[in-house]
Amino acid sequence: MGKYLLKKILISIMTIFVILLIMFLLLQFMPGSPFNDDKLSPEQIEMMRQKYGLDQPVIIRFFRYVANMFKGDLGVSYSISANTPITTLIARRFPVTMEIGLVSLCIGTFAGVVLGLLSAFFRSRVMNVIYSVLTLIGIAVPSYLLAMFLSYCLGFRANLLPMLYDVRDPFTTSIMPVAALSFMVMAIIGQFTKAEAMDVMNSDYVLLARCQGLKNSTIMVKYILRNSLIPVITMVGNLLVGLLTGSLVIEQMFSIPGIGTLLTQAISSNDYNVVLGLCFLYSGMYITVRLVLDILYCFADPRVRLGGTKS
Amino acid sequence: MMKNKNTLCTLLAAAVMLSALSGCSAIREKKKSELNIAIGASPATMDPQLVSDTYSGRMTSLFTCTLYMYDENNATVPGLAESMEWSEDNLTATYHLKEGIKWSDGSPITADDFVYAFKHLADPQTASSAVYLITSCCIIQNAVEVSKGEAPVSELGVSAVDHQTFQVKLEVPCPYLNSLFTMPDFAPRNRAFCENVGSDNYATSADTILSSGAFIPDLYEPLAAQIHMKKNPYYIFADDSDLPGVNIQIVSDSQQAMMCFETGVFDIVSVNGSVYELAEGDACLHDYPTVSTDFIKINCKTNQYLGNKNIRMALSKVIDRKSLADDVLRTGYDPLYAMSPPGYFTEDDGTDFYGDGSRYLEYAGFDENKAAELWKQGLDEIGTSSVNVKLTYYSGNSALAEAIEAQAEKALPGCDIELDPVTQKEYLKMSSSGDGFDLLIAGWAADYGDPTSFLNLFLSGSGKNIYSNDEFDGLLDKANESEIINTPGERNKILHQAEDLLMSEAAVIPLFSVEDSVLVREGVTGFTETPTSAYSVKKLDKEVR
Repeated sequence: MGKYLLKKILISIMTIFVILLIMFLLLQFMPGSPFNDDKLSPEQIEMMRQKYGLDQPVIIRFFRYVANMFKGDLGVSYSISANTPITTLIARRFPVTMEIGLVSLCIGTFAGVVLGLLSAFFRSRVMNVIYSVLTLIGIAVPSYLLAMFLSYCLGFRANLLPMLYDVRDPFTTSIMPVAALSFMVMAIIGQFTKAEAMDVMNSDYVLLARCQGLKNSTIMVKYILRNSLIPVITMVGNLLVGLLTGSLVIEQMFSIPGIGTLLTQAISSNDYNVVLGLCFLYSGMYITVRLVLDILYCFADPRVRLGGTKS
Repeated sequence: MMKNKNTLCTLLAAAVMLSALSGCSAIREKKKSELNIAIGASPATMDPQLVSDTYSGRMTSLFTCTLYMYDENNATVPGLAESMEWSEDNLTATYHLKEGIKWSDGSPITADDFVYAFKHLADPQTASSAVYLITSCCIIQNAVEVSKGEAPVSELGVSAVDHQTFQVKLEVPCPYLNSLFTMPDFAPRNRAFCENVGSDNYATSADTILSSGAFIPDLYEPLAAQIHMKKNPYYIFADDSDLPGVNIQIVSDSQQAMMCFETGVFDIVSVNGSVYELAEGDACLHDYPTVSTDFIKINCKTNQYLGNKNIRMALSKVIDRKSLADDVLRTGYDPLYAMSPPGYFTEDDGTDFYGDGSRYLEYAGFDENKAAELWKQGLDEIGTSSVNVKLTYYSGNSALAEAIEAQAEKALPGCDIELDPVTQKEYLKMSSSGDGFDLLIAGWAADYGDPTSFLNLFLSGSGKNIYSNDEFDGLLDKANESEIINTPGERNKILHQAEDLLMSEAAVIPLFSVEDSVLVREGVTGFTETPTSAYSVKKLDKEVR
């Protein structure tokens, strides 16, 4: 078990470094430089390159970057926010993205579980229509279209909710972005929960419980809900990473100061350090989630734990 | 017991909701009395000496005041300076500061604050991308050497004669210096404050900014989506406005910004681009001329055919700029038939340097028949029946490029325009190096109120283009001679001669002058955009309804 975990952790760390190296090399092939200004003379551009160490060979810059990274220094922004440390930029923006992502995930998961269970339990025609419409919209309609629709109806026409995020009023100004993001989560979790719940409901132990004369509510909570939720939990991690990395358009639309908008600005301005810092964060998050899931599988499935120990 | 617990929970939840809602209504009330502005992108910096983009310029103009500033008619008038005088040789400018000018902490603004600011701008350690303002737009004594690190910063030709007298020494006369000094890059910098917060930390948060302008930032962080500024009671023109503060929100989605304007969230919103049509006809819509132009750069070195004057002029005359502006671009563009745009540069008698636009119609005015005639002459001179030319452009300009291609290929027999869209980064690289294209749809925004802001692009070896003409260079050199500067009307005459030469040679194909379309809510007074697209804030006010 220990050996398995150690192997997984080492592979994760190596993966992050490989991603960083690939990103470092790819950024060199991007046209232009961080100092894209046709009013700057070639000498001035060269001076700025020297100031930020961009005149050094790529490999030296990579190892210097990695060495500084261990000290918690991800460099400074060259152009989109001149001289601001990347750690400061990320530290201020990540909580906002995280907060909106987490709230959307919680609301979407709760709504999805309720929807999935209700449609599995009450198989009426009306319930089926509600379930189909909601999951179809959630999966087929991109979240930015939904955001535009909500913005137009609730913000512009009805003037009920603010159309832009306000750091001084995050509660009411987050309602629309959270609603747009959580809809997709609700649809995915709803479908998954329904399928799992149907499986559980057709299982022998639920049939036995029914034969024993247990109440429907008891069967629902103690047998179906608990057993059908276990696989759902494994999906939540991936959905969270998807929400954090995929909420870019929503952030732009509602003017949310998150890391999604930061990444697009950085890529379009060739601000290498910001792109690298965010790639490190994104890949770190994704790999951590995968690692945690692997560890959870490890506890859940004894075959994983034993894998490789006996041959 | 259980019931009590539930009641308590309900009451607590209600209290939280009520306090959140009352907080929201307080913010809404405050916003009503303040000016609410939407801008399209975050400012890259709030450090005045690092400003080189429009959004940073707009934001810093709210909390800085410069020696000279633009009034509502775009004329340069004294800001922090009371007056200025030139030395006889026009190489030394002495600025006398106003009495009682103060920073937002109440300390006096002195000549040393300007010396410190100018030296910070020139310092190679600062690596400011705006350093070209003192090494090329005007050349302050030793600025080129200082900015390259070849001379110490102390050698820069600026000095404080006394607390209220600031002196600038130039290497070449610069008659438009006051106009250049309206840029926020020339705003004062408080030495003690900067040393206290650390020069690199200056303007990286609201509490590391000291204001000399109309407002004091009290909510700001790098790349923030929101910025808030309150009134600066120490601002030299503080009595001209009662506006308590400004809210700035960065809204990159222009449709969202427009809907917010309609619902009363914003008082000022730019509506360029695709949303212009939605605002067309609105009484709140105002067009502000900017000193920006779009034109086609011609590279005679990569394409032998473009070395022929008749071919170049035919390409210029075949473009129907009016139909392109009205039918293709549809917003914010006016046909341009000279290199210097209208509405900004003036003759000594106050009339427009551009005139009524008819001066160069002979060379650039739309005339398909004349264009075909010139084209045929050009082909005969070269000894060919067809010409292939590559038209390079930033991919966002594809509609414009395709329309130009269609107009040229329709009217000019044997003309083959090859479209070459590039990314913005590639475009900027080509534009600054003057390399890698035959024809390039380019743009340029002036930094100061003088036609040389555009004409200097065509100086030999400017690095921005591939045009070289000794006569043109000689005329621009002559325009900066002391004797010419001091003779009324003489300088503009020479600048006209230089522009005549440029246009008669068809060295460039002017296309459009650019306007900024802005929705300004009724009740907002004193709002104007300066020609360099910054906000003019001296008399900015809002009537609360």
